[in-house]
Amino acid sequence: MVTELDDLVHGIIETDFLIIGGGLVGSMAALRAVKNSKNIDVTIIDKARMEYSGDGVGMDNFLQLPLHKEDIGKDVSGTDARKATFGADRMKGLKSAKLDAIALKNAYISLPMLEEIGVHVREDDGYIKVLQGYRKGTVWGRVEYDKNGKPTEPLFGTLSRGSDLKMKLGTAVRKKGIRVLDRTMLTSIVTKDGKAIGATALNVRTGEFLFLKAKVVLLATGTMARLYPYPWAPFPNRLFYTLMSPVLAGDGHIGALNVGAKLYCMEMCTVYIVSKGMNHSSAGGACNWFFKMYNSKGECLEDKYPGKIVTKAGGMIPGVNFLFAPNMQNPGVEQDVIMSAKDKATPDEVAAVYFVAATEPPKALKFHKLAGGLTNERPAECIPVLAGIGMATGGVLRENEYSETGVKNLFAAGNVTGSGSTRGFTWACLIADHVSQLIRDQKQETIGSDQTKQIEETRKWVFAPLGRKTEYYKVNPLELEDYVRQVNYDYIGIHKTKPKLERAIDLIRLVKEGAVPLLVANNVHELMRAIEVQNIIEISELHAQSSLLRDESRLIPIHYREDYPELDPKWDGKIITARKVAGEIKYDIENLY
Amino acid sequence: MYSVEINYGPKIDYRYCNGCGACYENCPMDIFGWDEEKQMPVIAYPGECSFCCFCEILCPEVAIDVCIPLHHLLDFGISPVTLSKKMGFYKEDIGGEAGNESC
Repeated sequence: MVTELDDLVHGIIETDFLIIGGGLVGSMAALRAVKNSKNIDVTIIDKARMEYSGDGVGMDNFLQLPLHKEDIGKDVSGTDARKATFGADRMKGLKSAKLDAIALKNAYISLPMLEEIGVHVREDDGYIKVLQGYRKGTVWGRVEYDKNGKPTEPLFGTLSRGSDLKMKLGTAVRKKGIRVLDRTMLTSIVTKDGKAIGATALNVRTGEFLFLKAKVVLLATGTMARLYPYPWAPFPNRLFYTLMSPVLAGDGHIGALNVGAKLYCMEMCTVYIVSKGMNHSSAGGACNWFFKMYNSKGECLEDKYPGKIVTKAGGMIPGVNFLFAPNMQNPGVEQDVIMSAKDKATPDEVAAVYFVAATEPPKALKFHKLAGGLTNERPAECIPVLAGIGMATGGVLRENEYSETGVKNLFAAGNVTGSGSTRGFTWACLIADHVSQLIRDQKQETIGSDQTKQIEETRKWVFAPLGRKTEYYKVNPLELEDYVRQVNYDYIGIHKTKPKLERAIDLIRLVKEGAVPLLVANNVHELMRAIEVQNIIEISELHAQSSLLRDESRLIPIHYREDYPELDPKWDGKIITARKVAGEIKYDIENLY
Repeated sequence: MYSVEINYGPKIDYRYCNGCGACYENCPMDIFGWDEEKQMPVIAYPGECSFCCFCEILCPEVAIDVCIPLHHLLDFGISPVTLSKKMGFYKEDIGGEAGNESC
C-alpha cells in the first residue's frame, strides 16, 4: 500500500498543521501556532514566493472600528463598534452574525502579534491616529479625540502604518524556521471519512507532485481574482492585469468544493472603481476614495446624488456603490464619462493616495510617478472593474465557531471565506489557537486505499494536459481562460438577466465538454495555467448558476438582476450554497450559520 | 503576416544584471526563466506580467525596468511622447532607423 503511494508522488511530507497559502492569513496563522506551541510542526505551501504572494502587500485599513482610546486592546463587541462594522447593515444577512460577533470580540487579537514583528500600527503613545474616515472635507488625517476619549468625528477605519507588513510577516515566518514550500500549488485536499488529512500539491517549477499529510489543514488561498477580464488591456495581459493579485485563481475554492465543503454567495462579485489604466486601489483613490467624481457637465456626483454615492470610506466592500449604485436608477450616469479632477484635491487627499499607494505593490507608485505625480491637472477617468469572487461577499462557507468548513479539520480564513481584511488576521489567530489544542489529541491518520485512489485520480487530472498529444486541435490554457472570462463579462457581469445567464451556462458547458479535454501544456509553468483555467471554469459555472437562482437584486452592483431589480425580503438572511454530491453540483438556499 | 510581439513586462539590462536571481526567485507570476548556461534570468512569459514591479525594486543593480503596455499608459493619461522626452530619449526628427532601444 505504502509503495503504491510512493509511486504516485515524488515526496511525502508529514506535518501537524498544513497551511495552504502564505498570504497575510497563512503567515499570521503559522506564527501564532508556533507561538502557542514550540512542538507544533507547521508547513506553508504557496503558489508563488511567500514574501510576495497573495493580495495583501501592506495594510491600508487595519480595523473597521471606531478608535475610542479606551477600546484599543479590549473586547469591543458591546460598544457602538458594532454599528461601525462597515457593511454590516448593507450585507443584509449575507454574513454570519455569529462569526462576525466572534471576530469583533477579538478584533485586536492580532495587534500584539504584529507589533512583536515590528509592524507599527500604533503611535508611540499607544493610540492609532491615522485614519481613513467618512467625513466631508478632509478624508485623511489624524484622529482628534474629545475629553471623553471619543473621536470627534465619525469614522470607519484606519490607515495604519503597515506598508511593510507582508515583508515583516514573511521574514518572521522564515526566522521561526517554519517549513515553507514556495512555488507549490494546491491540487487537491485529501480526506478520510469526511475529515481532511492533507493535500496534494504540485511544484510549478520542478513538476514534483507532493503529498502533504497533516492533522489539520487551513485553507488561506485568498480571493478568486481571475473571473473577469480587464477589458481595456491587450491579450494576454487582460488576464493578469487584475485588481487583486492574479496569483489567485480560486484553487482553494475548488479544492474545498471537491471534498464536500460548501461554497456560498458565489453570485456575488466584487465591483471596484478605479482609474482607467491603473487598476489599483490608490488609483481608485483618484475615483472618489479621496477625490470627487464629476460628470461631463462638470457636476459633482457626490453633490448631485446625496447619500447615494458612498465616498471616502474604505471598508469591507470598497468601491461597491461608489459609482454604480445610483446608475441603476439613473442610467445617465452610466452613459456619461465620469472623471475625477485631481487639481481640486487638497494636500490631505493627495497624501492619502500616496499613503495607500505605499501599501500596494510598487506598481502603484510607479504609475503615479510616470503620470507626473498627483498634483498635476490631469483628470482620471473613473471606471468600474469586476474584481472577482470573494473579497467580502462569498467563498468557502464556514460552519462553526472555529471557522471550520463542512469538512472536519479543514479550516478556512481570510478572503477565501469572503471575510478578509483585519478579520482574516483575527481568524488566523483564533484558528491557530484552536488548532494548537486540537492537534494534541490527534494522531496522523493512516492512508488507506481510498486515499491512494484519491491521490491517483488527482495525479491523473493534474498531469493530463502536460505534453498531451492531440490529433487535430490544441487548446491553449490562456486562450481558453480568455474565452471563459469574456463569456463572464458578456453574459454575467453587472447587468444580469435570465437569458444571458442561461447562455453563459450553455457556453461554459461547451467549454467544459468541448475544450477542456484538449488542453495542452508544454511545460510545468503552462501546466499551472491549465490547472488554473479548469478551476476558473468551475467557478464561472457556480457564478452563473447562483446568479440565476437569486431572483432579486442585492448590494447593487454586486448582484444586480435587471429582470428582478428590487431587493426581495424573501431573500433576507438567505444564502445560496453549492456543494458537490457524487460529482454533481447541488445548489441549496439556506440560512447562514 | 502581422505578428504581435509582447513588448511590455520587465526588461533586463544585461549590462548591469549580476545574475543574483532576486527577480527569478520572487516574481509572483513566475514569468522569469533561468538561463543555466549564462546564469542569468530571462523573461520567459512577459504576457503574464501583472506589472506589480517587485522585480524592479528588488533588483540590487537597478537593471530592470518594467514596461507598461501602451493601453495603460494612454488610459491613465500618460503620453509616451512626454515620457520619452522626460527620459531624454525623444528627438523631434526621429527617423525609422534611429529609434532608441527603450520601451
